[in-house]
Amino acid sequence: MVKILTVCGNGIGSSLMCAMKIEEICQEEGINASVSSCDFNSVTGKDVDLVVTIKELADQITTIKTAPIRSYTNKKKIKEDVLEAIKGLVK
Amino acid sequence: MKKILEGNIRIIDRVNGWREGVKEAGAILLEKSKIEERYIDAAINNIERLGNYIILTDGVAMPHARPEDGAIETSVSLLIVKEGVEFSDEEEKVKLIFMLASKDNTSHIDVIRKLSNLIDDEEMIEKISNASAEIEILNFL
Repeated sequence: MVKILTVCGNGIGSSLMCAMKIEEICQEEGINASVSSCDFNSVTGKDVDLVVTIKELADQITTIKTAPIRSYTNKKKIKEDVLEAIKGLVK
Repeated sequence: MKKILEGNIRIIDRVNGWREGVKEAGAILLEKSKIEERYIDAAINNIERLGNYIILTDGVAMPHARPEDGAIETSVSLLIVKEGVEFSDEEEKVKLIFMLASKDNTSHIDVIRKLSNLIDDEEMIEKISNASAEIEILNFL
């Protein structure tokens, strides 16, 4: 199971939209993943394998592997930006 | 989505900077008592503090704050800025500003899902950007 966390400024809008898209992508690809979302200030200490967020915020996260995205809602772009990273985490 | 946005759409030619854009989008919800005035300030403050995570995709922004920042009812407004407005030098100009308010952490999930599917539809976004009246947009939805 790959644990993915999507992050935005306050954890209830953009990141939630992105989490829904990543769930769909993982389902389509047959990847067993748990996707959650949170606000930027709560990232530290989260037990996850990959953080997905925009570059601006990803650059500030140093303790967890990140995959920067160009869009929170464009499924095609999200897939291009994160799928390789997620596949790399599947054991 | 039609039901959610009905009566909450405004179309204007230009705004004087992104702050005014967020204020105008928020004013639609404020007039209907869906949010308190401080909710708009909190949404602006979030953008100043954490940057442009509210740019969902090219040309589309969704400013929002937290339920405790003065959200009264879960609701969405849409401000269409014909000339577009710059949120940062790195991003394309934003033409659609969806102001989201959520009264708690869960009641907006259905709205979020619908809104995100709408925004993912590039053809629809194009049509909405070029519309000249709310009724036209409601007919697309």
